[in-house]
Amino acid sequence: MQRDQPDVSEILRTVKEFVDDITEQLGGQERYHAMCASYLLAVAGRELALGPTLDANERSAAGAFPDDVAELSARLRSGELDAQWDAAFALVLDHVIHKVRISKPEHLHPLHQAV
Amino acid sequence: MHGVRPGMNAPAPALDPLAQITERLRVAVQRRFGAQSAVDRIEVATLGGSNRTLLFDLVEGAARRRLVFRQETYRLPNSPFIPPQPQFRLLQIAQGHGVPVPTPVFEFEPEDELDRGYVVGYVAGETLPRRLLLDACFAPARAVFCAQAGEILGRLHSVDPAAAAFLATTPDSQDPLAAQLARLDYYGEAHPALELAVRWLERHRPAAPRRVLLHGDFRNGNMIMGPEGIRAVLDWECSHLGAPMEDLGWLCLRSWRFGHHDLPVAGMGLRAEFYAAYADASGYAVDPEEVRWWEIFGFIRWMVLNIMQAHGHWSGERRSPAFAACGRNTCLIEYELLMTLLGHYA
Repeated sequence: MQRDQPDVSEILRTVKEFVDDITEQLGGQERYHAMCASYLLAVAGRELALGPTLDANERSAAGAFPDDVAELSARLRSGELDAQWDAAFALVLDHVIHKVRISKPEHLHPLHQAV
Repeated sequence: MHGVRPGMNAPAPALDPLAQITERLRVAVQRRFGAQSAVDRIEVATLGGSNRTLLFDLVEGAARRRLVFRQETYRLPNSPFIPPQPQFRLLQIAQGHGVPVPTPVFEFEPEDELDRGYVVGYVAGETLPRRLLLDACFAPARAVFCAQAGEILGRLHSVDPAAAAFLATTPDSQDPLAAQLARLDYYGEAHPALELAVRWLERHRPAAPRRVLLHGDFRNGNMIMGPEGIRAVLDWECSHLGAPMEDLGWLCLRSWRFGHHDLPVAGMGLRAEFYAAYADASGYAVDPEEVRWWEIFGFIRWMVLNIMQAHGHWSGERRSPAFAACGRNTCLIEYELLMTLLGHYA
């Protein structure tokens, strides 16, 4: 069943607005930590909005590669994917672009800005 | 554990930690500079985390010297940082070879009851990269940065590595790449992009280089600068023995440019100028491909350091929003690493 308003993304937005409002009044390390907290709330908001679609895209793109990062990492380290370098590289680049879309989308090169 | 039994007087409250430390510092100073010497104008620079830094005046008669007290308060398990004692030795060695550092004054001894740490001279100036890169008053410092950085590294790399043989057993001296992977595995987080880069590094390893004393964290943010240029090189806790190009690659890492990518050396200058200054000071030419290899390595190392900060947060060792943010910033480094391997970034 649906719960009441505000929903989770609205709650995150509310807390972020509050943190941003008080940041101006803070100094030194508190101010820096408030800016980090605001950043983390924005990350959480984007993850909530984009995460499920990005996860589904990654699962369908994985093909024969494992879609579990720990397993993929272990197979890369063992060298067994060296022979499929370009395909593995493309898959990992996509995975990283997805993470950047959640953390800080403006960090992406114009090549990867388009949705 | 001693409990307080009913009816007993409660124990006297312990001195607050700062008061206790300043009292012990006074005793430590008088032990070395005589009963007439004094400690004055104490200022807390950083408190908590894994280091405590205080500024103070050493007063001897009419003379005053501003000094810095640095104490290790906590050691992370699997710390990538060397302890204070070898750091102090390195400051002495570096100063002896004309590398600008805060003057080493004295090391704590067991009778000081100050744990591990040392006192060095205070150097005034700026360390914040953004201010150094943007503020007009630092324009002259930016103009000479490549020449100075090349000369400093050239001098440091000319130190006989036997003088720093005490660093030979640190993991980074033995195999820097294996050291990063061991730390990554300890933090327990999988990063496929990092593993790709490791494979690339292993398949493009440069020929066995000469072995020198490295600073290990020579970058924008770890030097005190004035408008005229570099005044002191700080943060020797990553120092180890290894390939000279490791220090050069680390300074050229994209992460220290803060958006000034037209100036690849720490956002301050051009590679050619930096490499030429290094060759002049060291007598060894720079192979740009080998520097690039160490930049790829540098991305890995910078990732592992961010993963370490995030791990310190979520494991509960030392929680902070800043360390939490490091965890979600790691993918920004991964992205730059992959774009560099693809040739989109240089």
